[in-house]
Amino acid sequence: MANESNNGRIGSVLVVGAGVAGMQASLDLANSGYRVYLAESSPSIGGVMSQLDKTFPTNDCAMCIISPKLVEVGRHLNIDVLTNTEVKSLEGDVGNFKAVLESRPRYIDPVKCTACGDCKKACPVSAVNFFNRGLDRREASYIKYPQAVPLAYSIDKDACIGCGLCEKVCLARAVEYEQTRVEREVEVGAVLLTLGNEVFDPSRFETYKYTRLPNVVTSLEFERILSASGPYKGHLMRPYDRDEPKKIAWLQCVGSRDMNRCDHSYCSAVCCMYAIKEAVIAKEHAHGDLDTAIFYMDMRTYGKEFEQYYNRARNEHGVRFIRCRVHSIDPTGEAELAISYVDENGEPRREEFDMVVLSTGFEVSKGATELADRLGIELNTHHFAKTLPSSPVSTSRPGIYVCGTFQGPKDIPQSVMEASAGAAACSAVLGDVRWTRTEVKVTPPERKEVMEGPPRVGVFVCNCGINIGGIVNVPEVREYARSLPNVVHVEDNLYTCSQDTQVKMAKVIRENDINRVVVAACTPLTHEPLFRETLIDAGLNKYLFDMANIRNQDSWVHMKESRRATEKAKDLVRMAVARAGLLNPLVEKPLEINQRALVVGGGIAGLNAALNLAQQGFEAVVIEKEKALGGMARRLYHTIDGLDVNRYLDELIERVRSHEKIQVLIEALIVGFSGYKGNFTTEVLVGPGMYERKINHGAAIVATGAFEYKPKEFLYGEHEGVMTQLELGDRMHEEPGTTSNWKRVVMIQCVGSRNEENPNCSRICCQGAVKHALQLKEMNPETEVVILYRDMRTYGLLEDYYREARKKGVLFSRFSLDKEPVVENADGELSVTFIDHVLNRPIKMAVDAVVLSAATLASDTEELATLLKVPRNAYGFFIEAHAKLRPVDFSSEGVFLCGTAHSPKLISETIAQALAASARAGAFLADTHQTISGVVAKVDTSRCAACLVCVRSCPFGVPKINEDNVSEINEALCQGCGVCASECPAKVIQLAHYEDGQIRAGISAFS
Amino acid sequence: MQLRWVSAAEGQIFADFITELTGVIRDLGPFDPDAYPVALPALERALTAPKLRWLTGTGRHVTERDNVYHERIDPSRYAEFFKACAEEEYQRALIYEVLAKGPKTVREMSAETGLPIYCVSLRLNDLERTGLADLKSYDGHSPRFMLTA
Repeated sequence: MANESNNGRIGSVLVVGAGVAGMQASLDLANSGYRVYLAESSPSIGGVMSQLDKTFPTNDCAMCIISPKLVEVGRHLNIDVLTNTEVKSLEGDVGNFKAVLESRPRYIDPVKCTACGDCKKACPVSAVNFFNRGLDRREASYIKYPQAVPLAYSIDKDACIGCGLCEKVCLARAVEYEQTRVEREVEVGAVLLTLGNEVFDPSRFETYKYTRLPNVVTSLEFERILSASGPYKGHLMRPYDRDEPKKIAWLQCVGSRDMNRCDHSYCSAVCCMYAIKEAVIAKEHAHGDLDTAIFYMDMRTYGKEFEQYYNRARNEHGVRFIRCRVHSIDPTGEAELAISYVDENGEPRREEFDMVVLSTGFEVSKGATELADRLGIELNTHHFAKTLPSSPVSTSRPGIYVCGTFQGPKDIPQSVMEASAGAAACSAVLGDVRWTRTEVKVTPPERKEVMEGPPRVGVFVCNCGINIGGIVNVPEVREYARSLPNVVHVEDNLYTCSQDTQVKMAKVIRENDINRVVVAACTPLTHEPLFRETLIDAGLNKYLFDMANIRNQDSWVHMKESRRATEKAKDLVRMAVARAGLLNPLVEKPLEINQRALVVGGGIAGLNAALNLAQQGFEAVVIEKEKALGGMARRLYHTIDGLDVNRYLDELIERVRSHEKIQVLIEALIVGFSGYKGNFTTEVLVGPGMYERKINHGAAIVATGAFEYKPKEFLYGEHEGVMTQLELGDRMHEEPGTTSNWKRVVMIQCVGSRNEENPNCSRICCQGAVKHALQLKEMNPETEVVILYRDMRTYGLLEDYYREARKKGVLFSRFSLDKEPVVENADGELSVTFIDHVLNRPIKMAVDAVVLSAATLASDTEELATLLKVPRNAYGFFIEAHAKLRPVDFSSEGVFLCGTAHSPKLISETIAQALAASARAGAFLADTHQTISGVVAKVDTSRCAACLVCVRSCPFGVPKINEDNVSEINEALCQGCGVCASECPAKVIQLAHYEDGQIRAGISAFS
Repeated sequence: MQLRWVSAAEGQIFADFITELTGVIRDLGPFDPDAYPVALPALERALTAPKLRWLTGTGRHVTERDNVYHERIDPSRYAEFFKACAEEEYQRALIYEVLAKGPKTVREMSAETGLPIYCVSLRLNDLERTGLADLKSYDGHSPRFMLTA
């Protein structure tokens, strides 16, 4: 390798664990020019997310949104997916590691296996199906789930008796009992740990009787029950007798926030939201009325727009929320379950349920702690990987990074963000050796001569083992295809997608001068890219291809009607052949990319993004509207986990200022923005003189931040003893003498949050109050601190500080929105009156200070959003492309976001998100091989009436009415969705590859 | 069910075994097949299913000789495994026979087969998973299942 000049650094990365975080990190790294070894301990990638039914807060189907990622990872030329694989050892240093990986045998060759499932059908042995969390069984020969990648079976040796039957029935000859453990050494420049977590096992809780009562299930089991691919095919049923439950209870914090019984003091950060989601989805699945009750301690719906989800669940869906930690579950009647609890008025109650779901939390697995030990990285007291607030994805060993739930409990968007952040951290140390270990696909030149003359169609009909061939009469379909117009070659294959058939196919296409190809097999969703590559290998334009789905849409759905399925297969093939004849070769133009990024906002988010981009090797221009860099963080003195924010900021600014690849423009105002992905131009007015500058850049990151709400309530501004948390921070910093003499301080939470005007939770104020309460206690243990709260949302590992505050005597008292505390000023003497939730009577206390935990609100970005054409929600926070899987992307390509402009968050979370945005921007800038898809909409300008229908209907805002007064569609921006083509009343817009004539040919061939 | 491997050269052993077996059957007394309208066809279904036949045949291979991994399975472990398989196969066959008469709820299946309710729930799930049974309709909150084949 030619990397001696780069201090011997190696341009490849080992990613350990292929859950959603591992997959995201691998894709970001591979797209940024690194070779990725993705080691996964199980036989398929996908992690826990693949087991989920729906995901909050969008209620998207988890499988639907994760499977395109699975396919992308599986097919990526520069990601080596190593399943059944563990890391044995790691030697070396940042930039140059040697890792020894050990792979357990699959016993079925994933390259030869076509996932037809014949081995499973024959297998005489059954075992617990871990994927469905033990609710049902599977065979010893199994695939984790139907969409698994690699799409291949493997044998569970622990369950297998070694009878040899699967080998006998495997037509693809993929079964290999002789496989043994394989060790391999890989050279990598960095390691990224995305190990994920186990789900807490509640069987150790005697009083919940989880192992004895079939109708007591864990939340993950309940996800499988709701899932269409689960044991009950998505029908809401309880395990004992399959009856549809009429009443279901969720018990929160099982294995979380519990020192007595399981020694997990932390909050698992996701269970409140998933319990709400499960309750809402269960109600949707139920045939009749379903009563759902969630028993909780604090409802922690702290994420972006989560509070509104909670409100909808309670107010619109009628989910009951009962604040009580339930001690035990008692069986009653035949299979019913009784729960005893104390309601908010202190009355003991008992209720019966048909089913109880235990909201189990996260737990670091034994395997993960052992690996940490082998790698020599430090863990925290809860066994999560130890990180610092200023470097949230770096472990204690340089060159090893961590993200996802192994770093701490978190939800999917946070894991995905951190995954990209982990990729950014790797990229920052390996920027010099990009593209040194990657492969580039070499393609033969297109044989343009075969396009002359009439269409010559080749039809390849697949048997798919017996999946198609067992139902559809494939030879009959093949011979039928021969009779169709323009068809010059037909054949059928056992598996058209197998590697050897692909090689043969390319040869056949060349030899017969075939210029249109039709494959009658399965779905283009998974297989079209594969066949298109074969066309490229055969010297054909990849768009000269069509598929007839005679499996998913035929043999699988008409299993009992062989004859009619065969006729349908013929219809589908006839339609595909008719359309194929009219397909045209399309050109994919290369996309030129300016290697500079623009960062809007010079706070912690923007500075970190710019610094990381520069470390990756890209130029960055930071635009800050104020005179000084630093943003809101300048008002913070230390974080709850001990980071000295001012010192950190000074160092960060110094590093940004002194980096040769970064330009900083202060007092700068964006006044113009034009261009498209890879080629933007931004106009800026800079400095007091407002001189104009034009900046050309390929990508942009929006990091415009947020500010603290100025309260109108609780005598704020009327008495100097009433202040916000930020102001308290200032006071403690500037007048420690005064603040340490305070006898009593009352803090009021949710000021300007979680109310009618602003229904969002501001996420950071609970920990902010705890942080300041601890600081006040530190300054003077005699100071009495009372925190009046609605729910204490010290999520994840922050729970430790909440506990510490209680231990140090900070008093916590809950109030509800209809019984807010009252702050009074009697001749300058401040007092607070609130109703204590235990005594249930008003308490009035004189105080020295009232501290309001004021909401975090988005900066005013209305103009900027209009210029950049990026969306904001009703509360001014920017809207990411996808709440779950694209948390730092905008839907318009090349523009990214991070920090509190996205939603309120902690400094460590802001840094992670900033790194994530720079990873995404870096991957976009680094990938200089990008092309513009051939499938774009074109306007026949001679007939365009400029009616604006396309302009209004395009979901991406691409069509414009140009100077000639006709619609113009920039092909670099067009996503090829076809909405404009179908809406255009004059039919002057055609979507290439899906032109009216082509579609009509298919339809008329059918009728 | 009894099974013994007897070589063609071991005539005496064969004769002894048959005598012993006929004795066992004689001691059991007269048999009225009509008294077992569900159990008998279920037994026949389980015994003729490919799964148990294959496991019967393969037992000696994997306990006396090496299996495909060149390992040998402990005969008592295999016997235990076989017994569990046979029992489950029979339970599935019972449910199958009951469902052959028409769609049923889990409770009805339990009453007609004599199997505990939770056991029916589990074995029914095996049938659903292998495409033999499916949800038909709802009887209030109780789903009815039917055979698909």
